[in-house]
Amino acid sequence: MSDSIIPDGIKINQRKILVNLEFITCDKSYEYEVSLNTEEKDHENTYSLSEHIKVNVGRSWDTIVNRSDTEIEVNGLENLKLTSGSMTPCLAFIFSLVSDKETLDRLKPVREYLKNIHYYPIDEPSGVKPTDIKNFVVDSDVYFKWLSEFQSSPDPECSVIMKLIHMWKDKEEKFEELKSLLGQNGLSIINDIRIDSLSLPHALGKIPKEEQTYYFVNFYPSLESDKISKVLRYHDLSYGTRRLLRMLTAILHDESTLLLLEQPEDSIHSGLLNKLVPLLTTYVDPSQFVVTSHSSGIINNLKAKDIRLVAMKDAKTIVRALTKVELEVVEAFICEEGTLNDFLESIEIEDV
Amino acid sequence: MYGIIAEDKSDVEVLKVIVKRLANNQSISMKGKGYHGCGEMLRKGSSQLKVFLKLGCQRFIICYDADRSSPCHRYDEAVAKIITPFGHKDKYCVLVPIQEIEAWILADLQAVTKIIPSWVPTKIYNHPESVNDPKEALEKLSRNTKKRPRYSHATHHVKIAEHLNLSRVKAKCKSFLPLENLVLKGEGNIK
Repeated sequence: MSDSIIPDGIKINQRKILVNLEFITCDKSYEYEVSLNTEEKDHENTYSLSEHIKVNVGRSWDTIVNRSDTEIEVNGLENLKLTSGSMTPCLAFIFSLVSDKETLDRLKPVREYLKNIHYYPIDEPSGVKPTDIKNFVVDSDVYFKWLSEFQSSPDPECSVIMKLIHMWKDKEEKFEELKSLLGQNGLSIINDIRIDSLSLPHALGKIPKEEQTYYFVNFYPSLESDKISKVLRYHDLSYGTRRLLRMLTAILHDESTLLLLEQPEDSIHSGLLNKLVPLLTTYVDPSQFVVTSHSSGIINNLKAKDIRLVAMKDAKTIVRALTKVELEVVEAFICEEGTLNDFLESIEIEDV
Repeated sequence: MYGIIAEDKSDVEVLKVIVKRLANNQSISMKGKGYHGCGEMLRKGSSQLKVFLKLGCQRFIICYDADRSSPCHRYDEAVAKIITPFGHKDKYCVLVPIQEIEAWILADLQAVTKIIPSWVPTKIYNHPESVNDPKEALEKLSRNTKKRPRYSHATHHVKIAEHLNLSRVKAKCKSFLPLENLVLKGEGNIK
């Protein structure tokens, strides 16, 4: 699913790393499995990839693609032998070489699903500082270059400002939806976002051109109606507000199949968390959210069946859902004693 | 001054809006505490009311969703676990929305258009308290009809409460009456 797999940059302590993903998209169930096998030969590591993609048909699974190291087999194209580089991503390789429409149509939903799994870390994108001038005055050449790169290889961490301009220009409904969620009829954080464009006959400080367009992105905080609203730039917003803006822009703009959100509670007021979590829940389907959190404010706004406990034991990561018994007990606990977070504090992940 | 406790913070915020509207007085002083579920409220509600009393509250509202249980049972439980330990019975209103306070929104669903302009409901709910899981029903209705933004109770409920036709809510939701009686007549409903 990634553009490249570079194992040399990763310390691998195990001989085999296996990832198995089952997912539903376009009303079908798929299984994608990839394993990276390492072997030490002459004091050097060699790697080989195995991958398969299966689709569920009734009670069984049909293999669509099977890859073993450099050899790729595609169901329906038995006469075609594909040999790739050992670290070449399978799906990207198939789509670049195979022209059979039926095969590509079968694989397209898988590719689209995997391509739109996005991870959103706590930190702001490292390449962009809030005080960067590009965050309130954007040269149209810079914007169109970003757009071209984003459309070919979307980076979910990229600039919020560029995404806002994109929504303002090409996704007006989404832009209005974002403003509604942030504004007085929603979370009451930012009353309005206005983007203005200004075309000048010559570029300032550059080689003269016929016309150069600049975009100005202004934020108007929520204030009482009889007060004059102050204009803020992106860097004037608090870290928590910028975080919230990033999350909601990601949900509306990126059209992710699966959003991996890291600690959404970070820098968000506890009162706002009580609104944010139900709001995220509302936007589930067709997207799915996987959220990591240490916060009772997040946990107490979720259902017990949606919780997964994660712990490290013996250098391994253990993940599990609540058991059937725990789910029964916690329902009564929440009705009679305390909160979901109180209950989770009392159980051990190893208690299975 | 009013002291309000409820299972959920958004319910507290909605009740604050409705009390002010009923009293026709936006300056009424209110204290509120929303919990994360009924268990926490039943366990801590009584001591919270003591705090409200010390802070000067003279009227108290305890909001305990009936969900799919019997409203009478919920009422008795709230009295037994919250009010009786405290000992004061005047000016109390135990509010038991059937099944959730969101039924009051279903009673006047047209109010949502004030907050989400793209959502113009056509269905009229004459018996909103008979709808199972009205909170989920509202969110599903919004999602299925592809309204933007999607309705989220914690974000939009309090905004919609400012536009609800309270006469219509009263006519369709019998659980609304104790609140109106407390605000307009100063009458509690603790036996």
